[in-house]
Amino acid sequence: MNKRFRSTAAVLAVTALALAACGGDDDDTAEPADTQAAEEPADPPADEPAGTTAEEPAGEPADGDYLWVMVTDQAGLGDQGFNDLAWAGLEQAAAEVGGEPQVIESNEQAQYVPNLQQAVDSGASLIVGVGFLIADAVSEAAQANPDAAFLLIDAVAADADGNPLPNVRSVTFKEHEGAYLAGVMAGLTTESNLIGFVGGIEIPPVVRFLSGFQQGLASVNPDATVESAYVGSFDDPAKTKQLTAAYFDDGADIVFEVGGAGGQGAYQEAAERGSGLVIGTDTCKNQLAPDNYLTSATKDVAGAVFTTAESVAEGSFEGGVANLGLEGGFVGVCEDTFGDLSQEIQDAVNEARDAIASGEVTVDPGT
Amino acid sequence: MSGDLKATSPIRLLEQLISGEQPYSEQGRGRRLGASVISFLGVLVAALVLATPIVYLAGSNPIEAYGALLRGSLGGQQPIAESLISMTPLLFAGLAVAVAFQAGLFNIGAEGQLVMGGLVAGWIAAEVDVPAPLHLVTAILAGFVGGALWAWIPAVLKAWRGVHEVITTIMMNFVAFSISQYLVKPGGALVSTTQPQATERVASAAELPRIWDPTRLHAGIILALAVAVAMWFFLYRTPVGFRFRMVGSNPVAAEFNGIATKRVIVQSLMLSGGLAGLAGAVEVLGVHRRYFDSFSPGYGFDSIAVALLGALNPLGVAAAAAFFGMLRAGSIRLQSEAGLTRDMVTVISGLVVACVAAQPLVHRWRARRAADRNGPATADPAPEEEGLASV
Repeated sequence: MNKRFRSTAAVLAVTALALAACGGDDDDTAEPADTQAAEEPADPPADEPAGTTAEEPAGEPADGDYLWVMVTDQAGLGDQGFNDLAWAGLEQAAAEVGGEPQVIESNEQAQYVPNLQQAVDSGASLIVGVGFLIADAVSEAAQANPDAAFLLIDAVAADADGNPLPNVRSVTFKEHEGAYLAGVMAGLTTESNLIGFVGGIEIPPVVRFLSGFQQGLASVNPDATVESAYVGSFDDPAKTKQLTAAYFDDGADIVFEVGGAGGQGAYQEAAERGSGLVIGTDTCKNQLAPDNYLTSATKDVAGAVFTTAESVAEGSFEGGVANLGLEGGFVGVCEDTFGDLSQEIQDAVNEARDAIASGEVTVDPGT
Repeated sequence: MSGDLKATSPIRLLEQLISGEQPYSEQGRGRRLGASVISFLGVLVAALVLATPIVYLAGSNPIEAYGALLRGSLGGQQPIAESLISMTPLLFAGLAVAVAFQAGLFNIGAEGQLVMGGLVAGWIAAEVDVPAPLHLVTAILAGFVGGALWAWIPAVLKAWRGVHEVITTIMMNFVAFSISQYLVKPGGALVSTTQPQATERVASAAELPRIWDPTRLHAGIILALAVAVAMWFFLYRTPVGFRFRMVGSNPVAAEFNGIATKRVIVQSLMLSGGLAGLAGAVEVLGVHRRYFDSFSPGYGFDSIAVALLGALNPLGVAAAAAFFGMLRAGSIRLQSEAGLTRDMVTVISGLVVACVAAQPLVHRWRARRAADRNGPATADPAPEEEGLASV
């Protein structure tokens, strides 16, 4: 009895770990982009004795001697979403401004603060925190290290009284403005007048995408309806694929995915069927399903990261809150495939873009 | 086999420890302790050795990598504090799993109980008006109760309907995750106005105080160690604890001896759930200061490895939790200094579990070799193979 129990326990323990690894939690298993981190020549530990904090004030190292560090959320690199985009921004900064990019991936939320502190200790010129879950941690690290410069994407860092911190630049996006344009495109493209929306988790940025999309759609095609469903995580391609399939089966001809790394399931489904169109998020994703791709509601995280890194190099870094939208092109639709669309759609999108820019149309974020 | 002190091999002794068999001699206890320490360290060394080629293949110098791991976990005040912070939830949850194991139950639902404990504690701490001096205590106790009640359903189903607890506790995990997600989604009942997927910040009176300036080490570690000692005393020095272990090692004999096994099942699973709930409560009140939907990366699952590495003895669990805490804290420098990915830590913990799980196999192999040497007289290994075949 006892021995049997023990053997069962051992087998179950291994199974449990496997379940934990491939379950619906936030940790990723395989991450293609991780190789980047491995290839990166690691900081020689010799010049950074253990336990000492960086003595030199961050932000004014010798020319080209910058260290750009980002701390990811649990999704990590390889999410084909804003972690990868922020990394692209840092790589661009390293290429054009100089210096080294470095990434610290967080396994768990409790590690945000020590990861940020590690970045400060290694003398980072700019520390990028990605995702709204890291906001509290950035606030804590920024108050503990008032000389270090931070950039927070998708959230606002504030002190206990709710005042923005002087050494943190908080960047949020008007996702709804870009999604509005995608909605215009969808409204003029759909034939069945039914569009599926597959979101990762119902969080404010995702809600803004949906809200803007619905308004854009309604502005050109009042008969079309959007039905929405949520996967429950940002890293579950299988479930995203199922939900996409369900919408296509129900007669939808377009699916808008805001599914993070899991979103690729939508493209797989459309490519396998050879019918239906997918609208993506954050960047152009036409390579995932070239024949079944309409556009993306883009969000230029890379650009925001790059311009902030540039401002650090120029000595013009400023803390505070920035809410970036169509103005400056920080949100929009995929430019790579824009020219392939019919002239009618191109004109309608440009018209909507101008209307938003002139203030004639205000898009409600829905949050 | 109980009291078989001729079995001096560490693995056999570890097995005795796991099964709660107690050799009845003081001399035996000393040797047993030494043997379990050796076995504990043996598992760690084996796992680290096995990880070496993987570290090398991942493109890093293993010596440098282990150096970074060591510096990141023990090299100064900050790293030590971070190791202790990471250790705290693992210790509570490891104790939870160990207590259930001791009573013969495999609580794979520690993660869900931990989520419910954290959620209830975070809610009490942030939203409910409790007089300041009592707020912290109330929130922690509420976390215990939340976890215990979450384990109550599987416990009752197991005791009176015979439903296997592995199935029900896993299922309850998903229910807990969904409830948590539902409550803090946009427009959810508990969601914060400023922070998505989280509750409001806990009241300052309900925060676990920080105890080691300037680090963020919180009082949860003291609580965790105290609970570990208390659990050891409970299991090995009290009648109720003895009944737990007796039901765990032989439920039929226990029933025959007049122990109310149903009651023990409910008690032990609820105690286990309560301990897991404490893990969540302490993490929320000590580290995050608000309940985040995603605050746990799977402490409840990792705690199974912690409990097994600790040989289900609360003090062993504390040592195992310390090791895993160091591994997690060290993983930060593993990335920034050795250029490895965070997944290497997952690999090493996986290898630790594999080494723990391999121990009965090693034991069987040794037993067979002994049987071959001694001739057919020793018939010990045969029933064990049956046991494996039936799995």
